[in-house]
This record gives sequence, C-alpha cells and structure tokens, in this order.
Amino acid sequence: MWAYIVRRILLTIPTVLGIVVLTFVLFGLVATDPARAYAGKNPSAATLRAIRARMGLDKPKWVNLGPTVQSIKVNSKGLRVETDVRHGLEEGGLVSISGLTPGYLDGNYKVTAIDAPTIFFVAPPAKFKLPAATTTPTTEATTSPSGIGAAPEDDASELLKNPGGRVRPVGLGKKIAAFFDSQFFDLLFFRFPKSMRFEESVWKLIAVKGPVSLTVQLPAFLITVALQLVVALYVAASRGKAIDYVVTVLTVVTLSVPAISVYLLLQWWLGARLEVFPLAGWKPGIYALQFAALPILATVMVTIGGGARFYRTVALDEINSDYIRTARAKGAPKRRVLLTHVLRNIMIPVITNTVTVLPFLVFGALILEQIFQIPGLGNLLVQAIFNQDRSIVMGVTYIISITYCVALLVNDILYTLVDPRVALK
Amino acid sequence: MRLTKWIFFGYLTAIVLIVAGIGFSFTVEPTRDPGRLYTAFVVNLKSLDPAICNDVDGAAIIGNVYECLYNYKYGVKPYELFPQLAADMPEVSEDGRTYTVKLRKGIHFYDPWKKAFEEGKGPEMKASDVVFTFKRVADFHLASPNFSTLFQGKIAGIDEWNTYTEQMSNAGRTPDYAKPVEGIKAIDDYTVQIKLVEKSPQFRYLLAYLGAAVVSQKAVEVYGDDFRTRPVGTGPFVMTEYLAEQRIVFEANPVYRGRPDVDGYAKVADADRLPKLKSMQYDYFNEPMPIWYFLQHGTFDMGRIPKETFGQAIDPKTGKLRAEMVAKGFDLDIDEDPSIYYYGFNMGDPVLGKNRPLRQAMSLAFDREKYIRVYENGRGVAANGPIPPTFDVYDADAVDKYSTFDLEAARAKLKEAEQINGGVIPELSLLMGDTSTDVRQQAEYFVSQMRQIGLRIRPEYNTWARFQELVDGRKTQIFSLGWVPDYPDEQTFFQLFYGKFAPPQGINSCAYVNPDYDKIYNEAMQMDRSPERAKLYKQLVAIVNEDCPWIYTHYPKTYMLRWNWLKPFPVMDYGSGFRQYLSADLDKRKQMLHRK
Repeated sequence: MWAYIVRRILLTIPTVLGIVVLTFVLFGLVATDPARAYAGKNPSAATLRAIRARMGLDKPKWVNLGPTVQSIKVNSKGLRVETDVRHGLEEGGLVSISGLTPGYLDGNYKVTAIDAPTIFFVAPPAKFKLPAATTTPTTEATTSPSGIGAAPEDDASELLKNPGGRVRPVGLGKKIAAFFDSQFFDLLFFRFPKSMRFEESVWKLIAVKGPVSLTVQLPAFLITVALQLVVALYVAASRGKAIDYVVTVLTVVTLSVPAISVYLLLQWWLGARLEVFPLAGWKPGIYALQFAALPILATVMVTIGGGARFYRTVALDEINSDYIRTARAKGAPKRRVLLTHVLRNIMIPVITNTVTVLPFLVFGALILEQIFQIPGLGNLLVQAIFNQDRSIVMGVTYIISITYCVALLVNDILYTLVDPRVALK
Repeated sequence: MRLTKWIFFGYLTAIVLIVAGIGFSFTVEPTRDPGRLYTAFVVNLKSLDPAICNDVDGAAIIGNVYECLYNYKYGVKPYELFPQLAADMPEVSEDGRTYTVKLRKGIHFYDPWKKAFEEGKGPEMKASDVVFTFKRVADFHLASPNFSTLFQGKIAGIDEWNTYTEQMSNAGRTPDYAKPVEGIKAIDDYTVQIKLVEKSPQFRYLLAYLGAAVVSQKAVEVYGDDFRTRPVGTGPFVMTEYLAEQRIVFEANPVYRGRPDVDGYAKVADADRLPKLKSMQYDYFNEPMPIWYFLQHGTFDMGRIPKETFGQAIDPKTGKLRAEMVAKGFDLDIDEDPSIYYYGFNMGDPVLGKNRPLRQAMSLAFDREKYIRVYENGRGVAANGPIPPTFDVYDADAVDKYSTFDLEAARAKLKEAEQINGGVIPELSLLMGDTSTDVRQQAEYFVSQMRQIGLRIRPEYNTWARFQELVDGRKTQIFSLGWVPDYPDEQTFFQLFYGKFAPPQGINSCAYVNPDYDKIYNEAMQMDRSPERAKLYKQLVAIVNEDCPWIYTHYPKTYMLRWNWLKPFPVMDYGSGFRQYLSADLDKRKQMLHRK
C-alpha cells in the first residue's frame, strides 16, 4: 500500500504542474491589467508601475533570464548598467552581462551595486580600456579610451544601448535561484503575492475566512449525508410503496429547481416574511450559528436530493442480492439487516460521493455565501473575481485543485478500510 | 463492530450538538446599542489608508477619522471651502504658484489601540506631519492611486521624489524622508509652504481631497502594513472595531476639539459639541435586497432604494414617497448628483471622428426623457451639456440643439453624414463596461434608438477592467461611461476634452482635439472663479455641444430613504467627515421600534 501511496503522490506532481500551467495560461488569455483595474479613474504611468511592482506583476512571467540591459553609462567610477526590472539579482553579486558587443563586457566582471538591483557598477578589468563617453550605441567599439576622469556621476553619459542584452548572476546557486524568480514559479512554489485589496497573504485570508465557510458547510454536510442515508435505506426497503414514489418525486424536484431560487425563496419566506431567521449577514462568536442556520437549511434542501436518489439505487442493488435474502431468511430483523449488512456494503459509493466534496466545504459555496452575505472563502473568491484580485483567484484556484488531488488519494485509502477486497498496489 | 458503533454515535452527537447550538444562539440575542447609528455600506473598502482609498464611498467612511487641511462648509451650496486643519485660507503668492498654509494649534492625533501612542492621545499635529503626508502619497512603494490625481506634475520636485523612491524601492531600501522636496516645506512648526509647477486655481480643492488627509508619521511607522486597517487621525470619530467586509464601528474621538473649524484649544459649549451621535456602525452588504429588508425593519436608520423595490416605496405617478411609507415613519431625500452619464465617441475612429453630422444625428435620435423614465425609474435629469447641476455654468433651462429628441432633424443630419462618409454608414460598435442585465437593457435601448434613423449598432459587453483597457487604448467606437467630479470646479469636466490628454492613457477618453477649445481652456485655467471665467467656460460648453464628442444622457439623482427619527441633513458631494453633524431623536427610535 505504501508503494501505492508514494506512486500516487508522485503522479500528483505532473497534475499540479498542469493545473498551474492551465491557470496561468487562462489568466494570460484574459489579459486585462489588474493594476489598471485597481488604480481607478485616472492613473499615471508611474502609479501603474508602482501598483504592478506591489502586485508582483513586474516579474518575468515564466522564467527569469535576468533583467534586460537598457543602457550602460560611464562615469567617474566606471560603468553603470541600468536594467528594466528589479528581480533576479542580489546586491553586490557577480553578474555577467551577455549580449553586449564581444571584446567589451563579454565574460564576468566584478560588479558592485550603486542602486541595486537595477543599477550596477561594473568595474572593468585592469587591461580593459573604457571608451569615450560620447559615443553612439553603434560606434562604441571604435572610440578611444577615456571617461574615467573626473566626470561627476550626474553627467554619466550613455555609452551603449542594448535592448537584447541580459544581466545574469554568476555562480550556479544564484543562477538557479534567479531563474526561478518569476510569476510562474511563485505560484508553483506557493509564493503568492499579497492581495492588493486586503494587503494580506492568501494563506492568512484562507485561515480567517475558511472557518466561516466551514461553520456553514460542515454542519450542512453532516446533516445532509445522514438524512440522505436514512431516506435512501428507508425508501429502498419499501420499494414500490407510496412513500417510494413520493420521495422519488421530491428528490427529482430538489434536483431540478435551481439552487439560487431555493436560497432566495427561503430568504424571503423564512427571513423577511416570517422573521424566523436573520435573513443575511454574519456576526462572529456564538451568534454566527444564528446566521448560519438558514444557509445550512438551504444547503441541505438543495443538496439532499441527488445523494438520496443515488444511494437508493445502490441500496436496491444490495437488497436484492442473495446474502440479504439469506440474512432475512435466518430471521435477522429488518432494521439490523439494513443498518449492518446493506449500509456496510454501500459504503464504497457513499465514500466516493462524500470524500471528494470535502475540500469544497472549506471553500464554501459561491452563490450561497453571496446571497446570505457570509464572509467566507466563497464570497471572497467572487469578490476577488469582480475586483480582478489576481493573487487571490489564482492562489485559491490552485489550492482547491491540490486539496482535491489529496482528497482523491484519501478516498482510495478509505476504500481499503471499508472493503478488505480492495487492495492498493 | 465496536468502531462502527462509535462512529455512528459520534455522528449522531455532532448533529445533535449542531441543532442545539443553533437553538442556543437564538436565545442570546446580540444587544443593539441604543445610542448608535446603524447604516449599511456597499463597497469593498480598498483600504482605510487615505493615501490608498480613492473611491467616494470609501472616503465617506474613513473621512470620519481623518481630516484634510481644508474641507467644504456643511450644507453650503455652491460649495465653499473652510480651513479645517489649516488655520486660514492659503496665502497665495502673486504668480499663483506658492501657497503658504498656517496650521491650527493644539490638534492631536488619537490612536484607539494605544500602540503608536501609549496614552491614546498622540502628539500635536504639526507642519512636519503635513510634509510627511504629501511625500508619502508620492512614495512609489505605497503605490497610491491618489498620487496622479493630487500631486503628480503639480508640486515642484514631487516627481523627482517619486523617481527617487522608485529607485529605493527597486533596491529594496527605505527612502529617506528627510530628503527635501522643493515644493513642500515646513517653514516652522505651524506653517507649510507648497510650491506649484504652474498656477492652478483648482489646487486648493485638492487640499480638501481625502487622499491628502494628514496622517501621523509615528503611527505610519509603528503600524507598518497594518496601517491600512488602523486609522489614526484627528477627526471627530475613532474606529473601535473593524471586521473586513462585515462591520465597522466608530465612537466619538475623546480628544476631538468639538468642531472642525476651531483650534484645539478652543472652548466649545457642550451643546454645540460634535459629533452629535456618539457611536456609528456600518454593516457591509454587497446585495441591495438585504439592505432594503433591514431598512424596513428599522435595523438600519437610512438607506438607498434598490431598483427592484422602487415601486414599493415611490408612487410612479407623483414621484413622491407612498402614503403607507410615510405612515410607517419614512422620509425621502432626493439629491441631484453633480455627475453625468454619456455615450462617448472615439474621435480617432475613421468613421466617427471626421463626421460631425453623424455624431449630431445620433445625439438627436436619443430620447433622454424616455430613457430616464423607463430605465432609471425617473431618477435623473435629461442632460443638456457636459456640466451637471450644482455648477455655476449649469443652466437647467438652456436648450442644446443636439440634446433634444428630434427624429426629423436626426434623419436630415444623417443624410449629410452619409455624403461625407461616401455611402451608407457601416455598423458601429457600442462598448459596455459590464455584463449585467441592467447594462444589457441600456445597450439594447441605445440600439433601438439608433435603429429609428436606420443606423446599425452592435453592442459589446466587457468586464470593467477590459473596458478600461480598450477605452484607454482608444480601441473603441462608441462607449458608455460616466464622470463623477473630484472638486466643485467645472474644470474637472472640461479636462475630459483637453487636447493634451487625448493620446492613449489620457483622461480625454474620446480623444477629442480642438485647438480653439484648447486655447480657451488654457486661458481659463489661469483664472480664479469670476464672471469672466464663467464666460469662457460657457464658450467651452458651446464648442463641445456643437462638436458632439459625447451624447449626454442624464445627470443622476440619488433617492435616500430615512426613518424620521433621524433629522434631515444636506447631502455633501465633496469633502468628508460630515456624519459628525447627523443627529437623531433616539427616544423616538426606541418607541417606534418597540411599537412594531
């Protein structure tokens, strides 16, 4: 079994990788600028740049090949290399500047930071002679050495422009670390940028909002499963009788009525009309249960039908099998037959059906939380989508998919516990 | 079998506990504070940091805590400024570029969490705090969306400071706030000098914009990133509870000076002391219906009327509050918003840009009265120009030739337009910034209006973010948009047609360029409010009306329902912190709610 578990975990890795790539590509396709959405009605370029930097959008998308060299300037202290992005380099490191004209800066040079990491100070090797400070980008190779004179730093003149060139750290460790410093790998390694709207990490938000969603979802889940099983077993045992038809019709009704209309109806009827429950909102502490009651009821009503119908079918298969007939024939009471024999044997489909929904309990129900104004994760996700809060949407999507993968694994392991015939190899 | 039994009983216990817990929770009713004002708020607060917050609703909430140098006189219209944290109106140099602002003395910050200031009461607000505040708005690391609205390109040296902070931020270092900025100086503890790049009569209004509310350097440093949820200000209220997207509670600031327009040392008689209500609670709801229900129950003291229940509250024949609502105890407040909704043309578009008769024809074919009646429940005034009510230049009786509904004239204009175009006008696209049913209906209405004169329009629905991107990039033909002014000077609308802002990313979204217009605009920008300037402003309106870069639709009205225990109050469209003036007959509320 352990071999199986290890193999499953290993198999999860490409799945997760696929999920990240997909999330990332999808967000790339939707391609609106979240910084623009955040900035409001009249942002300037500087404002947008600042917001992007805070959102982590100024990082390279996939892999970090190092910042592009925008220009190299010469001044009294040597060379100044200006780059476009801030990531991927650390202060005082060694960098190699590739893509520059050979004979100049090809190779590795000692670099100290002036305004690291965008502006570097490249100290020339002793034999290397600096060209004059007045050259144009294309003729730099032919100019005569000078420029290390007394020119003040502000007079640093542009020596060469090389839009294609890149600045890279030297040293394998740093090279690798810098390579992975991109938006894609941030997501893959769970390094989500802070949400712009909450100034809070995605993890913290999940920790705060997850319990709220659970307060509604967990009780609703427990009650639903219990009711589903009771109803399914009872109806299966009285097959063909009036109660069977009534329940079947009811389950079909709950299956076909859209959830949102049930929510609105209950809110209007029990909340606004009869004033039995508070109709929406939330308060922390014990009061939360008061606000959770109506959403729990609504969730139970909406979700009970599907499972009840499914379990009834499964239970019917079992009830008609030989061993049940044997049990009944040897005089076991009906209740005992249902609760021990049938129930135990329909556990596999029940577990499949229930365990896989467990991760979604934490993440709440999007529409439900919106309508009943429950400040849980479902609500958070809806608002994040409206507000283009990318780090939340991507982070939560990603975490949901991973927990789902884990739930599937747990599912398989549980099979072996309830049914010894199943062996994981 | 043992285990199964345990699981079974455990499960049963869990369900019993849940049901019992829910039952118990209903017996412990949370108490309502009888002295507290309860209202709803509907926006996701971006931040409680004034430098970050740039939406009207957010500003109304944090304006309870923070104060600006100037603010608008309560209930006075046309709007007028008064010195709030400043001691007097600014002293402006002859060239109009240097503002000297004296500060009030004895005003203190208050930290209800007692972390930045141990006693709660902080040090006196001084000129250095103002300088710090302004520099902070321009700090790259903060990414303040207010920077471009407020200071960028306006205060001398501020852009250089912004660049410097960008470099420091890129280097992962903290900028040195001791580094001087030419345009913002503390002359002494109570005097601030601001130097502008060029003369700008509108600048004084920006000093009353909540983004420039004065913050304490100490509090910012102590709270760091938490500052966005820990407002430490000088205003009438302090925040005592904050649950993001749930609830915000304010209590009266114990060290408040009693009125916004006096010094900290002033003696204010107890009867005159503000805030009148000592406690306020905002509950967050992003759906309108719960707010409506709670308003009906008296849980909220006032609230807006959602579209769905408009007929329940307002009699469509008279436009007044229904008798049963009045009997219940409601009052209705109607306010004309100083904003405008319009359909903009992209003047860079080859079909629309060069064809003035076409734009005029479309404007003539749009029935504004019907639109307001059917789609806005009558909540609006048909627009007759780019400037909405409450501004000097607005004239309710003025008739704009092209903003009247006249199909005959529209068809004639369209003929002209077809000649210019050299044939039938091709199908035009209409860009909408939302996908909701309301927006779809509005777009369909526009399509039907244009069909009357034989024009084909294709509506396109986008998310707001994508919409902005397309409009900013001038990749549109016709788009639906509105404008809410930042300050009570017509310039806030006129800038939307200024040629310098026409290139992509500028706020002149329709990319309208007219040298005559720009000339008058430049001239008017140098002038203070005066009859001469009003004359120039009217010329600007005439030019825009004739050129039709927009189809003006309407100036919206806000309908607010208020329980009559809450005294009537003027709606202020600019400025902040006006909740301190609200007063209520709390005994009456108790009685009325009890009677129910």
